[in-house]
Amino acid sequence: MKLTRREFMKTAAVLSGAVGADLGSGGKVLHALSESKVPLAQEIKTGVVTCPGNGCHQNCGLRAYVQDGVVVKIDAAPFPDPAVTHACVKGLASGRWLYHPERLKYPMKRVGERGSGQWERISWEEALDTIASKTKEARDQYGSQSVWIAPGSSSYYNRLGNDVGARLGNLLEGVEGWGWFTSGDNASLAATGLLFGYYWFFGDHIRDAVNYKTYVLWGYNLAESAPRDMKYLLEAKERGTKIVYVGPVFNKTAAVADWFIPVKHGGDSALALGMMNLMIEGGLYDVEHLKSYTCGPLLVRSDNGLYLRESDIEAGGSEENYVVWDSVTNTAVVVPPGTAPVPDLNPSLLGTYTVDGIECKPAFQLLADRAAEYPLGRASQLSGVPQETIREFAMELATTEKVYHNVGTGPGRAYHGTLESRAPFTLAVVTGHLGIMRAGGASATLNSITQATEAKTVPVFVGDLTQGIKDGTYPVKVYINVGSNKFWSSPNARITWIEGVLPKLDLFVTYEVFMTWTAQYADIVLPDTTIFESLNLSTPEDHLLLTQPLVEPMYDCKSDTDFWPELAQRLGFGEYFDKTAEGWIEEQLASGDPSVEGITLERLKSEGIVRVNAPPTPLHYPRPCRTPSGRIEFYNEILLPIGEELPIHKDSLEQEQFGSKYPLNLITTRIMFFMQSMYTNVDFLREIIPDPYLEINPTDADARGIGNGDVARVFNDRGEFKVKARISQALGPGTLNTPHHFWPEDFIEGHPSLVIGPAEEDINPIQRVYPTFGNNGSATGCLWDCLVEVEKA
Amino acid sequence: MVKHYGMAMDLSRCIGCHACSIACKIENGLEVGMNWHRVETIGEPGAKVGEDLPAGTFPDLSMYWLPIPCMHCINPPCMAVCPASAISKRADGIVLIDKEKCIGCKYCVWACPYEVPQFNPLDGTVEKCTFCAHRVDQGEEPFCVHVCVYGARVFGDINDPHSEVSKLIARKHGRVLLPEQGVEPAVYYLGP
Amino acid sequence: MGIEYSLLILTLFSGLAIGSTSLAAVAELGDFTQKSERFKEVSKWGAYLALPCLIIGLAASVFHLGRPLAFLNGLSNLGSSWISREGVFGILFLILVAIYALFWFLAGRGGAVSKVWRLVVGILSTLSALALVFSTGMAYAMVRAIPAWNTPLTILFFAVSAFLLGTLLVGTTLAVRSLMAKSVEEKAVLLASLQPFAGLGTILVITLIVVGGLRLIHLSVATTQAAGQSLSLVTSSLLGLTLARVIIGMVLPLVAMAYAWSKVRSRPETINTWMIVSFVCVLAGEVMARALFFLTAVHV
Repeated sequence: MKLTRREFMKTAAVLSGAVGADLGSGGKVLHALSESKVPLAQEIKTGVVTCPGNGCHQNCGLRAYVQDGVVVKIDAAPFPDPAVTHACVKGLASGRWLYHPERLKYPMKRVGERGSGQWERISWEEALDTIASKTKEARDQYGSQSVWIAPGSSSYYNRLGNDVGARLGNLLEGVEGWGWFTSGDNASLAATGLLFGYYWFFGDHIRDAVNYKTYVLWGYNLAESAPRDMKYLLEAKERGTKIVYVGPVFNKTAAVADWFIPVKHGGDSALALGMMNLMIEGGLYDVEHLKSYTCGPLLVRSDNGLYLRESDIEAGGSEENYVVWDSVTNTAVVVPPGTAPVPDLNPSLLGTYTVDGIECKPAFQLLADRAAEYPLGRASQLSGVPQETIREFAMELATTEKVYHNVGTGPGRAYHGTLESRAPFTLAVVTGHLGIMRAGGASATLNSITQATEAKTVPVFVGDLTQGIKDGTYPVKVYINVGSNKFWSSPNARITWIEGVLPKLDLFVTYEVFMTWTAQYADIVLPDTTIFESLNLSTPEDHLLLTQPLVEPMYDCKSDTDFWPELAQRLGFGEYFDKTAEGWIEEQLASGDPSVEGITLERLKSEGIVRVNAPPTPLHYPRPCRTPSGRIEFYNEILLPIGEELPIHKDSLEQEQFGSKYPLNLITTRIMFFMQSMYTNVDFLREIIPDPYLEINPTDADARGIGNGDVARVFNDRGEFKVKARISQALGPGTLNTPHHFWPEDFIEGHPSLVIGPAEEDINPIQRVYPTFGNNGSATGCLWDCLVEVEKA
Repeated sequence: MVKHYGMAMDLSRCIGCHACSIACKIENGLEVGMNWHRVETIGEPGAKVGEDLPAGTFPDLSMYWLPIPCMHCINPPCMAVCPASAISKRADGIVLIDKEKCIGCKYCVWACPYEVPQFNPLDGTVEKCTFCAHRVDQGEEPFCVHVCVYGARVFGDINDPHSEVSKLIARKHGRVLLPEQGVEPAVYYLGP
Repeated sequence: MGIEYSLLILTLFSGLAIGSTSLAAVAELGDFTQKSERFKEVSKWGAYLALPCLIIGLAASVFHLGRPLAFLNGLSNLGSSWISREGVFGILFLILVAIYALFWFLAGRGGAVSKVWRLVVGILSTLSALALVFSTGMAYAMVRAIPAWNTPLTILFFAVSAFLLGTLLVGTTLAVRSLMAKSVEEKAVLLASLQPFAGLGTILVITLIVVGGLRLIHLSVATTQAAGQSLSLVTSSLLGLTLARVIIGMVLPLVAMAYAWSKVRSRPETINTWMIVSFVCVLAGEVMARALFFLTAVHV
């Protein structure tokens, strides 16, 4: 008797009997788990485990209590630095995974059509032999780029298995799909890259929130996305910091905040520009900051939009030097790149000047001109923020000294995600509110084990890769997906994957803990172990954490740490995989870096969590920036071809194509009870959030005759899904929200990933013009631009 | 004065994450469907546990959360009405149900103003939050207090004016829920 | 709250038993003082009907428990629990009414139990029955956490309901026997026994209506939010059930009994049909009333 997920949820209260009989030891163990009351008895052993829900990137540690081989309780593992000690509601519930009756138990191959759910059990031997032979076939016929090994976050993050798999991937010289469809992360990185030249999450450590009078969160649901950090925000609030939340939905962060500013998705640029306009009109901007550290005073040619260079006005002049207009001498003055102060110079930020017959304006004048295109009425209409609120917010920011802007990934989940993410940063630049950026967390410098030789995978942006597989550019025939629920996360499940990539593949392997939507369509499904059953080294802030197996791998599951070497052996690369899991970790620790001095595997085995010997990481501070001019660049020449050299509001691609037909914007936020598509099958968490729901404003609901609890059909040209409506004031008219986490089995019909756009067609245009920097490009999936209509089903 | 255990809930620090409710289930080995602790959403009237529905009209909204353990009342109505004398109050104030004596009449479920006792259909008796007496007796705090990283819950002797919990209640003007019921709960709420 | 079916059965059937016994004791007293045959029928049937009703009611209350086999534990808190008291009085009532019924049974078989003893046991049974309904009422009325219950009117409701149910049960039995009676003398005795029932029934229904009205007023003036919610349930989702309860359980019996009362001199056999009709209506009405009692129970 195989339970569907729905059936499991309903019968969860009577787990012990019939289910136990079906599952053998797993069921009995689950029964034991639910029967046990936990006394503080001597026979309980504890062990440290990295939290599997680490999609939040907080890398918390859990302490698991094991009694007679059963994990009976989870708590937060105590860290040497107690500020890092934390377990959120998901972490605490992680123990419910280990004995979940729907875990994959043995390797299987499909015997029906892909997605038909017809499986036959096979041995690991047969699985490995098949994968190896198909891989060899593909490589012989199509070359090394016919193989795509894709590690993911699945049952746990920071996985050793990912690194071992990447080691094989590199040796095979297959393709590597980098970047993400799914998040606004890339857009934020591109934004900070354009402004400051730094492609990593930028700004203060959250510990410093308390230093500010006003702390603004832009599209960053910190309470639910970074639960451990929330304590700092609460502390700041208690000590007088005013918390402002800017975003489309009134979520937990907004509820705790002192001020909720309701910006529509895609409206951040308009809001920021409207505010900048008011500030510039009122002369309320940080003149010194703009003059000294930004591109503000640098003259820009009116004819071609490029910065005026020394080489433009002087023979033999350098292309590297820029020109400003000195208001003291009333002449053009050449300045080198960087922010070193030039004595006796007072460059203008505004005005129009002619230098050697070339008309120029300081970049700040251009920004002012641009901002002037967003008077209050227009800014309000495009952003959804009431005019009075824009004015109040602008005045407050302009007249408060200690303000911090914490920009999240929300604004970036758009076709114009980079523009949207740039906007709040630009605002912060204008007011000189860039944070104090004291040191961040320390980290260990470990050896990488992914490069056995010089051989390396070919990195392709994942949007280009999926498109390339569809149109034959990339002859990928073998795709080994480890713990990445692509159908769920990467739009569009049908267009990109089921009808796009899959038909081109000879072999599709998924390595998973559960039969996810993606796994259902595989040719071979391999059962992964959970974090409780395998060895792993993770890097929480300031520490190293060794996860040691607490229980034997359950059923016929195998950690991919042990899988890759066996596959490598069959492919002739066995010599590079001569280590055990412990051996890999020893190699990682043997970097010789001072941060890991004195930290051995033995020490980690006995202590579990060890503080690294590194000082706190100095945070990037944009003085000088790594931009071409060495200054903060809110004016980016490189984006002239697409008209985005300055902040600007642009309607999304969807708006242009479908705005009239589909008037509602569907966004799919995350809530703190689930982590991407993980934890939705944990019974305790489903008691709190039993079913998917569609948040809809009463105005939109009434206009369509949809009542609270009615089944609603959400649709557009790409697909549809059915879900119960929840009439809510938490969002404004014109926006719909459904938490993305649930699986198709949980929805009444369909899934949001069927209506959300395929990423490869809708790539952020910046991707095409902006040079990428290794792994951190500007590409993003415009997930939240999704336009739909809804009706009562 | 005689010790009486109690709690202070600092609602300005509660984000409604329900970690306390889940922690309680784990600590006490509770089944699906059995919850000794709940967190209510105070927003739109009628919002169920787990539904973040704010009060007000967009965008002028408000929402906060109310964690509800057993109040371990000074004057517990559950104890007064129990026909089986299954409910008793310890010297330190903790109110406990003796499942051996309980006959499952559910009268305490009716009598509790906070709807705290829960009928367990698997064994036909009623159970409820014990302030983790088994932990308290070993010098530890209740597990729900232990897991709350935001400092929204403080546990201690409310009869001792120098205890952390008493000082917090005094400083932030703690109040009890439904004082007119006359049961004198030992759990105080501060803020939000 | 959802409908607690076993408690519905408990209060309904114990109510029938309480009412029958009380009526029987009154008739017993009448018989003792006035020496008329017509009282004997009433007290005999009152005793006979009370016993099975009480057994059904008490059985239902035991099965309401999560652990029925441990029900004796439930008698331990006489100091503060009305449920414990309810249990003790219930058992006492059962014993006494069993003896009372036995006395009537022996009397029918020519047994030598004197009228005095029958009266004593009848009165004792009634006292324990009254203690039972009082305890039941108090058990609900004492729950301050459920404002809809938290009034002395709750006790009054259960008491009046019991008297009405018991009276009509006995009356219906007599009416059915009257309709089936073969001999003219039998019929005459039964009709004579039934004579006060129309008036008594009418007065009891009116009392029930008054108590019901007062309970509604109590809900309307109560200040708690929970009471307000109880009231709004009555006027919205439970409106149909409430109207049915009033019309079927109050208006129809009132009309029937009043009509029968008006005919008590001219055509006394009118009472037969209308008594049966009233009883069926009141029975349905009291089931609905108890369902409403639970459905409108809103916690603070």
